[in-house]
Amino acid sequence: METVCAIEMRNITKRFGSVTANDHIDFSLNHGEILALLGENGSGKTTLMNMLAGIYFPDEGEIFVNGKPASIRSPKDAYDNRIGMIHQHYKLVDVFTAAENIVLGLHEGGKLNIKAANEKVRAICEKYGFDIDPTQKIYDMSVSQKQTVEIIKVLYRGADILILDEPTAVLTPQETDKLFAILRNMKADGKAIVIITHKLHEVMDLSDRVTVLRKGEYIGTVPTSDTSPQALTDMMVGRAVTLNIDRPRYEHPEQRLELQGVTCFDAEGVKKLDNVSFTALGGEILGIAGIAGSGQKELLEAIAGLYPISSGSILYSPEGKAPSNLVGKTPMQIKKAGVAMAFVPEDRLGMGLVGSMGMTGNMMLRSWRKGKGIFVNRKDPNALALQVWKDLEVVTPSTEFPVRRLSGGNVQKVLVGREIASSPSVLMTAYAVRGLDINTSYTIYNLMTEQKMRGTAVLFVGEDLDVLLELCDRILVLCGGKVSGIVDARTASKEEIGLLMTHIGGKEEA
Amino acid sequence: MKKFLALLLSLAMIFAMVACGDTSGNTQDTTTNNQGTTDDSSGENTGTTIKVGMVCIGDENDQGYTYNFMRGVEATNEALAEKGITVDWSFIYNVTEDSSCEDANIELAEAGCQIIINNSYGFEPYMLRVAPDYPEITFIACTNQASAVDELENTHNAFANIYEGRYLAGVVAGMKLQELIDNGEITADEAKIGYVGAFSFAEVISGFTAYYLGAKSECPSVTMDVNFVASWSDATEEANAAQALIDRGCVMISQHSDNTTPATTAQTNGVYHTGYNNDMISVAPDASLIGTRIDWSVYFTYAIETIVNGGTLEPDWCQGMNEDAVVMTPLNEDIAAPGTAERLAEVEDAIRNGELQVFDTSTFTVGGEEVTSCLAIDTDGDFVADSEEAVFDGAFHESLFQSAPYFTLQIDGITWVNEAYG
Amino acid sequence: MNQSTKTPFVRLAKREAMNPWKAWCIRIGSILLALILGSILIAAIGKNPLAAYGTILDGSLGSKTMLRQTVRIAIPLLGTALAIAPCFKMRFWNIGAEGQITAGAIAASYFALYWAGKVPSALLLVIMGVTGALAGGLWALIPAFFKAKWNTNETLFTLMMNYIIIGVVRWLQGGPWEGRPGSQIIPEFDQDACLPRVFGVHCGWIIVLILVVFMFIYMRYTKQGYEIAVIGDSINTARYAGMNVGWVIMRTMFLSGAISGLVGFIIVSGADNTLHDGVAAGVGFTAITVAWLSQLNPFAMIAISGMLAILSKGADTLHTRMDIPASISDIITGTLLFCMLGCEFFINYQLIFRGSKHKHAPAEQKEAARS
Repeated sequence: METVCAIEMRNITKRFGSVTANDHIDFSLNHGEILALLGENGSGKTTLMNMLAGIYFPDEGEIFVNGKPASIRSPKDAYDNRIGMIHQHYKLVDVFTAAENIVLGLHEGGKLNIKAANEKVRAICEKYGFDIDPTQKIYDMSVSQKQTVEIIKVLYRGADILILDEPTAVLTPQETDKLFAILRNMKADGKAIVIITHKLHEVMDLSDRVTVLRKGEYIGTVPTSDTSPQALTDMMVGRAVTLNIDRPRYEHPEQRLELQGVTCFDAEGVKKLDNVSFTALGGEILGIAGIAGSGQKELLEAIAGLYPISSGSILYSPEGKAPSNLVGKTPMQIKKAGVAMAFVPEDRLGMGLVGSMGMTGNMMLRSWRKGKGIFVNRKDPNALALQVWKDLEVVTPSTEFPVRRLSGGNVQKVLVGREIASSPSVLMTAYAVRGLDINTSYTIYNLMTEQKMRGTAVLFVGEDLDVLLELCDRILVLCGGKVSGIVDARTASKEEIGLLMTHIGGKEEA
Repeated sequence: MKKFLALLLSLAMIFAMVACGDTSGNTQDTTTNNQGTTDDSSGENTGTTIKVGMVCIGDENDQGYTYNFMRGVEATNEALAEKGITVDWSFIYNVTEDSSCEDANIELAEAGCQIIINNSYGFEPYMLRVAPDYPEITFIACTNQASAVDELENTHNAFANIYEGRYLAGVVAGMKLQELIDNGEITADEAKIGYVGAFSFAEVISGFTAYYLGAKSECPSVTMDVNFVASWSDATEEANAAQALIDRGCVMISQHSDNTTPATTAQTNGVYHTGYNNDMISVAPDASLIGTRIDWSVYFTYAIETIVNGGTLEPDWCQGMNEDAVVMTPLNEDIAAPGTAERLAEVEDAIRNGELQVFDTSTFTVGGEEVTSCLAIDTDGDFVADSEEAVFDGAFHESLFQSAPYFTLQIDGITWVNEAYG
Repeated sequence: MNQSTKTPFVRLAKREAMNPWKAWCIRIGSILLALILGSILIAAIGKNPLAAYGTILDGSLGSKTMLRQTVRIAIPLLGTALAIAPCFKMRFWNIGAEGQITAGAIAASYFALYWAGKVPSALLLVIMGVTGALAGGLWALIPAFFKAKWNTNETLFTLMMNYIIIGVVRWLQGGPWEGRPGSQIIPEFDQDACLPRVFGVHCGWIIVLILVVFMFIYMRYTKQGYEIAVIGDSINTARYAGMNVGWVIMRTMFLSGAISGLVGFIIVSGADNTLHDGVAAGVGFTAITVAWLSQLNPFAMIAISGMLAILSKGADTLHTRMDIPASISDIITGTLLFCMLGCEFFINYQLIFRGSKHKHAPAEQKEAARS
């Protein structure tokens, strides 16, 4: 008999209404290996793993843990089977310490012995090389520390099968390296590890085998050593794609936007933007990088007039017109002046789109106030909706179909398509490709470049440094609300930017 | 698909059944209606049934106002049964004083009631809206007063001279207080009554003034404090008001409100109590001396019998002790002053034969002066009395010009602790 | 398969979009279920359920008089449901319609009591209606202002406002506006201040039907309606689109309160002809159910408020004719509402019972064969 698989899933099917998230998937995982579960957003990776974690229950199919059939109906069942999952959104109590969060919900003889728990946590840290103080409160922690706590929580519960859902999405390159080192330690210890991701270089870097899903279907499993990024992409997308972003230079860049010492505070009085100064040129894509929550959202909102600015100025110079200060103008005035923003938040719909309305209703967001009288004009927005539908190949039954029920990529097409349609002279996008499949991502990148070549100043907030480096002309790095540095994207390295993300000016001693 | 068909079929069946039920309900109803009308035309025949409806502000569980009506209903049934009249009652309980009262009256009218009784003061305007549409039905508004002035033949008012009962209760209280003074338990100055009133409404003022005068007739030094609770029925507030009065030094508590909590508060504090609507001895055996209530059966029997016999009702009926419309609840002989029962009988006789006028103007003063003139009735709707001199022959004549009380003088000896929306 | 023994007994799964006619069958089925549950209850107290349901229908629709009463009950329900619809669309949980009705009723009553006879009846009624709407709107504006300025919790705020305004009526009832001293009753209005009757019911029904059309158009075709829909979906998106969210909240609440106030005027002028502390009589709360059940569609509200009025009126008849206590009718109404609200769940989700997948097996094989 061969070695027993840690996990084997056979013929797993899971449906949500009319959507089949997983269609007869087979999956296996060995002890002492790191398996990358690769697939575009919406390919069913997280759904599949959630069935191991006891979040969902399969409609069809069987699960074997260590060779024995298992029925995992709840997260508790999952722990009983020594399976632990680290979700994308951490579930921690802010005011508790790391150790308190780790033991939360456990019944160890009824009485909480926090000292013993601290010791046990320390032991785990030493064993695998985690760097964390068990008595530190969660609210004092960085994102990567919180992630560490989540991982320790799972180990503390005795899991030897670990599932990590997009663990690097919120980490800097340096933190990612650290995490990978730890994962390799755990692998050496015989743990079975699944890492859900869509970042190819991570797959190549870390994993032993790769399982690829596409649109809910199982495509195949290959040893990492036998494959290449291009081959994996072809598996993910289903056909050969080129992964090159065209980056032409615009001939006559001219200044569009100049920020001088912009400082903002949030409602609690916390400084969100600290003396931010930079210029954005027409005919250039200015990338904005930074760890999540470094002020990217506030920066775009401040320019769009949605965030109160306490000091500083934003000079806007539209083509052929005298510069004017945007500070103090209403969002409507700024928009009319030609500054457009497409912000794709985590839930995709939170800002810029109305989920319960169709494409027409959403197109109307830009034009609803136009025209006299009390009635809204639906004709023009409908024409625009039809155009975006056609131009960007939005998959929707009709322009009245609620966008909430469209898939993520289509939602973003609607959003970006609408903003571009207004031919802005400054186009700001945040996380425009968040959750998009590769093809659509490239469509969006091309749209950005197209806009740039029309002389538009494009501000592109992105998460994936590889993409930023390929797409942008310059990259501005934010760190804690300050401008940490502005680099030339054509010459900068990922490590350089990673350093700037965590340390002002990129110097280690901070 | 098969399943769906089966479901649809069963749906259709149920609908059909509901529809059948509908029609059967209808016919059933009309038969009772017909029954009613034939009975009506058959006049004085023995074995007559009459349908009577009552719109109630509370229900029989309130142990107070509506409960007292229910007791009247039971007694009416007994009295009329002897005369061969069966009453088929319909009640609508817990009706609020708004257009839902109009609905209730229509409901009863449509259900075939020949007499519809509204038991609360605030019902009358809504009753008057319905009455014109049903001229053959007799509408009665208890404790209100409009029928004398409206132009409708079929509306009536009724009340009883409850102030007579109040006076008698006051006599019992006065004797007890005098006994306490005589025994040296309190001084003459300390003979103070506390009265829990609902609102400073004529009915309440008339009641407690009669009560005070009764007490004063036996205990000349008595004074009284009145505390209004601004509600006809609020058990907690009534208890609080009683407690406040006791804290002010009152040694005797009485009430014009619906709950028994003033009695129990008196019992807890070791003072005495006289009640209203209800015999409260069971809840406060060491405190409750006596109570008084309206016996509605006297009026109901009269009204129903008159209608059955094809007669005409008095538009505004008001009777007192002499007709037994006002009765005393049993005297608590264990704690009442000696000789109370005998004295009570004497005074009751005097009231019955008219020797004693409750509001004898020689027994009280207003602002130190005897009252020589006071108007009773408001005819122009501004709620200020403008006609009918109530003071003559040495007394204020309460409930003479209309059944609803109109005595609103604030006499000396009674202190209003508050005015409760006066 | 030993695994199937360990699968949960029942699981939930989101349904794919259901055929509208199938959804309606479920809705009708839920009403039937409620009726069946109700009949069990009626049978349990020894009455004939079919006769009881018949009595409800007959008592509410059986004669002209009955029908008029039913309509009169439905008028304020419909009006108030319309009033709260824009708020709910905006996800502003206005549960203060009760108070807004009362505020409108107070304002209308003031003119009814003190201006009657001084101006022509028609003008008086217009003044009462307009001031009633203004008062309701202003009363609603208070919580909206605080919400817009300091993001206070509107649910609690609007609820508390109800008690304040009812306290004001109590004071008026016993104080400045009291009729017979001590009676706690405000005198009846002069005939001039009462809404005229059309087909035997005060013409409030015409007003609310106009409001139905108005609200339908307002919510669907106007810029303001669009703003409300966007804010209800996402405040961030609304801000992004340049909407002044605070202003829209205040404006919408004013409109909502104004319609409630108008309903208050209709109640005092049309139905009660006087003012008392229970003038709203819970309509502000029942209307929430109406609005929810009709999914904020003004035309559906006509049907739902009509249904509730039938039940309410029928309950009275049930009580007088069959001696079925009002509390039993309340239970039946509650069951019905519960089933109707609950069935939406079954339209969106399906239950999968253990072992039921065997039934799906043939279909699967077919699929497999195809592929």
